[in-house]
Amino acid sequence: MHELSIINALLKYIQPYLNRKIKCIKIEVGSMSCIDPERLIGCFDWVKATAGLSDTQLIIDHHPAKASCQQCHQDFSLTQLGQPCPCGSYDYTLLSGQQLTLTEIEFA
Amino acid sequence: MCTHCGCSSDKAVLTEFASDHHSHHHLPAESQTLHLQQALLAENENLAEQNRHGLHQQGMTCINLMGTPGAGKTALLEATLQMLANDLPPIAILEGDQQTLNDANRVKAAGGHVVQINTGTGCHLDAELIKTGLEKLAPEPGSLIFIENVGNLVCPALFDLGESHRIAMMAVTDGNDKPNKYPHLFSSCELIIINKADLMGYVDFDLNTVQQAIAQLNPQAEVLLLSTKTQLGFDQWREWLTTATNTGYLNSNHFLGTHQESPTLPHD
Ligand SMILES: Nc1nc2c(ncn2[C@@H]2O[C@H](COP(=O)(O)OP(=O)(O)O)[C@@H](O)[C@H]2O)c(=O)[nH]1
Ligand SMILES: [Mg+2]
Ligand SMILES: [Zn+2]
Ligand SMILES: [Zn+2]
Ligand SMILES: [Zn+2]
Repeated sequence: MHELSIINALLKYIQPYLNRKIKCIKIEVGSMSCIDPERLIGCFDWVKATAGLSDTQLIIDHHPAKASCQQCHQDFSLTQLGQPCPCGSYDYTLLSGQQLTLTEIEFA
Repeated sequence: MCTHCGCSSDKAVLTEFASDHHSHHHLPAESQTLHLQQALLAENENLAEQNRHGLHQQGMTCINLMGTPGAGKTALLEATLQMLANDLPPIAILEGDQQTLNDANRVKAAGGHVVQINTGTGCHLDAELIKTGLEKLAPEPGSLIFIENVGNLVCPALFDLGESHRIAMMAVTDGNDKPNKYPHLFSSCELIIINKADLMGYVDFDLNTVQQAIAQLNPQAEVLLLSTKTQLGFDQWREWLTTATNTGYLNSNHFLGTHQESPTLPHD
C-alpha cells in the first residue's frame, strides 16, 4: 500500500509545524501519479490521531496532466495514460501530472 | 553535478518554501496559511539520484525488472546467467520479494551473485532498500546489476530506485488486457518483454492487440517476445543488454518512456 508511504512522508514534512494547531493540509496530486486519492485519505484518517492531527483535514487537489504533442505541437491536458492528443496522436511528452506535492498548511 | 550524465545528488533536496516564506512569521496568529512546494517523494528521489550517481561512477549498469507475478522474471535471470554470462559484464542481482529466499536461491544455483531484499509487508522496493542492498551486494565495478522488483503492477513504477533502465515483463498467459490495466508500469519502461511465447498457441493471447495497446501507452518502448524455456528471442535479448551496458545513464529520475515528464527543476 504505497499510499501509506506517501502519508508517512507527509507526516515527516508536517512534523516541524506540530507545535501549532493545524486545521487543514492540502496536497496536490497529479492525475498520472498512480495514487488513489480515496486510499490516501483513508491512510491519513488511520494515522491522524497518533500523529497528533485528530482535528486536521487532508484536502486533495487534483490536477490533470499536461502534455505537449510531438505531432501537432499543441499542449493539451489528459486525465489518463494512453489517452490521445485531440489530434489523434499518441506521441507526446508529459509536462506535468506526476506531482505529489504538499502545497498548504492552514493553521487553526 | 556529474559531468558524465548530468545527474546531481543535490537535485531533490527540500524544495524552498514559496514566496511567502518569510510572511508566516509576521501574519497574525489566527487563520494563517503556509504555502509550500514540497514534493512528498523528494527523499526517495534524492536517494535514487545518489544511487544512480554511485553506480554510474563505477561504470555499472542497473536494470529494474518489474512485472506481473509469475511472468518469469526469475526464470529470465536464470537463463541469462546460464546462456549469456560470457557475453556480458559480471552480473549481480538484487532480489526483491515480500518473503522467502526462493528467488535468490534459484539465481544463486544458476551462478548468480545475489542479495535478497525482503520487503515484509511493503509492496515495493524503494531507493533506500536498494542503497542498503547494494552495500551488501558489493558488485565489482563495471557490473551489470539486475533488480527483480516485487511482483506488483502498481506502485513499483512510482518509486525510482536509481536504475539506468526499466523493463516491464508480462507473459502470454497473463491475458491481453495487462498493459491497459496497469498503464503506469507499461508506460514507464524502455523495454516490454512478453514471455512464455512457447505457450502462445495454447492460450487466447493476441499479440496485435497487446502491441497496439503498448503503442498508445508508450510508443517508444521496444517489445520483445521471448521464451525462457525455448530461448526464443534470446538473440535480441542479448543485443538489447549489450546496448544497455554500453549506453549511459538516463539523467532523469522520471521514467515515463516517451511520455517522459520534463524535470520541473533545472538539473543543476
Ligand atoms: N512455459 C513457460 N513457462 C515459463 C517460462 N518462463 C517462466 N516460466 C514458468 O513460469 C513460472 C513462474 O516463473 P518465475 O520465474 O518464478 O516468475 P516471476 O514471479 O516473474 O519471477 C515458473 O513455473 C516458470 O518455470 C517460459 O518462457 N515458458
Ligand atoms: Mg521471481
Ligand atoms: Zn507499494
Ligand atoms: Zn496533437
Ligand atoms: Zn552521474
